[in-house]
Formats: sequence, structure tokens, C-alpha cells
Amino acid sequence: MTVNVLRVLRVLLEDPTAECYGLEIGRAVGLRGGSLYPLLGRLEDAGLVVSRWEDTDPSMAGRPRRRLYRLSTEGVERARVAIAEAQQDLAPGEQAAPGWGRTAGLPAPGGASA
Amino acid sequence: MTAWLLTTLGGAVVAAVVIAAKADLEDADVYRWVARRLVYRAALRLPRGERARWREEAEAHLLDLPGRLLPLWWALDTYWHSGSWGRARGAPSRLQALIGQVRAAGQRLRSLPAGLLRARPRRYFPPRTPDWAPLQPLSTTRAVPLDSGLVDLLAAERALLLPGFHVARVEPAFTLDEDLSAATFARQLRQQRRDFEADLDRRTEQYRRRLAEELGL
Repeated sequence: MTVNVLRVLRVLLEDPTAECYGLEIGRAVGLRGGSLYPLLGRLEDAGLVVSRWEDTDPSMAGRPRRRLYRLSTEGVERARVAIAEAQQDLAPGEQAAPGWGRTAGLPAPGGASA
Repeated sequence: MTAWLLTTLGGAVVAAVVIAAKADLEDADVYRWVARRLVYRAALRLPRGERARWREEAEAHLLDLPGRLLPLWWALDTYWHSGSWGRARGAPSRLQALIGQVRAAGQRLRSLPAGLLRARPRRYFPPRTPDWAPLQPLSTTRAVPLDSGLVDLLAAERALLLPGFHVARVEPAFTLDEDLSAATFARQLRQQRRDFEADLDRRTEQYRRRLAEELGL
């Protein structure tokens, strides 16, 4: 999982039962549309996130419908595992995993070496 | 000195144009229109079944973003990444779409009726068989040997033009249901030619007479 995916999962994991508006997720994570929409689509395809249109009439509300996202049951478990693994990988003194901006074999920041 | 003056004048003109354009853009709310167009164009790069969903969602986000430039920036970012986004969702790239359009055009061309395709060269090349047929009575099976005098006569008849009135031959030119020999056929042609000329002379004389009466001569 990429950093952006983990950030989105962490935002959704703060309250797994709550439905989040896509723009709120983007603001919390710091992503704009070009990165946010493909990411949400991938998570939805993977079954980690479910979405639905909000139950409002656009003519009555005076604005378009919003798409609401929340973690699925499987998504909650997998998000917790993924975030825990990422925190473990990034913890001081641990060997950094490849793909996280460091090369395997080099000493991790914090003075610890493999 | 001249360069400094030109630079100052040019800067003033550019500043005036930018200020005027900015005022017009703000008045017309062009930013949101451009942002919506960008989102629309970005959605066109997605697979057909997903366009409406993402477009509606992105437009809702544009309306909820504050200010004028932030929605435009959001839409620009969406459009900028829409190519890779669409390919990730299974849509063909622009090159693939172009190749598909060319192939479809070729298939449409090949699926045209064969007769239509064969008919095209006929516009540029004349048919091998002439439109005219050898002059012969229908009841005979051999061609009529026409003498040169008769051919000249027929050609002169076709070239005959008189101003002021039209000449039309109403009776059938030839009697085709009789078994005609070549000599009889040529004789009939000459007789019809004489009758035609006599009729022509009569009508010409009538025309001159009527014209003289009208003019009081």
C-alpha cells in the first residue's frame, strides 16, 4: 500500500461506522482530485471501501448529491493491519522496508543499524 | 533610453489588458465554467459506464470548494491526472482510441455495397461500349449502311437552331414495326427530312408574317 492509501485508510479508520464525504477525505489527507479519485476508485474496487450517494434531493438541497465513503468490514481489519505494519516499519530502530524511500541495508534514521 | 521607454509602455499596455481581462473574468464567473469543462473533459477519458458517477462527484466537490481559483486548481489537477486515471480504470489511451477509430473507418469502407465501390471508377473512365447504337430498324438484324449524304443531313438537322421559336417533332421519326430494307429506310428518312424542312419553312413564314403584323410593316 502506498502512503496516500494508508493516509486515507487512517482517516476512514478514525470512525469506521461514519460515512465521509470525498472532499473531506481529500482535505484531511492533502490530496486533490487527480490523486484522490483514482485512489478512492481503487479502494472501492478492492472491497476495502464502500460508497453510496447521499439521500437528498439535489433540487431541494440546491446542490449536487455527495458521494459518501466508509470502510467495509473487511476494509476495517485490513486497514488496521496495514497501518500497524506501516507503523512497525517506520518505528525508530527498525529496518526500513524497501519502497518507503530508503534502500534496504542502509542504516535507518535514529542511529540504529540493521 | 528608447528601450526603457518601450518596456514601460509595453508593461503598461500588458497591465491594462490583464486588469481588464481579470475584471471581465470575475464578472462572468469564468473560473467555475472552466473548472466544470475541465471536469467534463476529464470524465470523458474514463470508461463510459463510470463517467457520470465521477463527473457528478467532482462537480459536487467543485461547488463546495471556496473561492474562484481553488476549484479551478482542483479541476486542473483532476484533468491533468485523468489520462492515467482512465487507463487504470480500463479506458483506452488516446493513441489506442485513434487506432481504433482508423480501424473502424476502414471496416465501414469495406462494408460498403460492392456495387457502390465498383461504380466509383465509372465517373472517371467512360464505358467501353458507346451510348449510341448503330442506326438500324428494330425488325431487321443487320445494320443499315448509311450513305455520307444522309449522315450529313442528320447532323445538320441536329445543329439547326433558329431564334424566336422552338421546333419540335412530335411524330415518330421512323416506322419501326415494318420490315424495311435499307433503301426503303433511307427513302423514308429523306421524305421525313423534306417534310420537316417544309414544315419549318411554313412555320418560319408564319412567324415572319405575324411579326410584320405586330410591327405594322
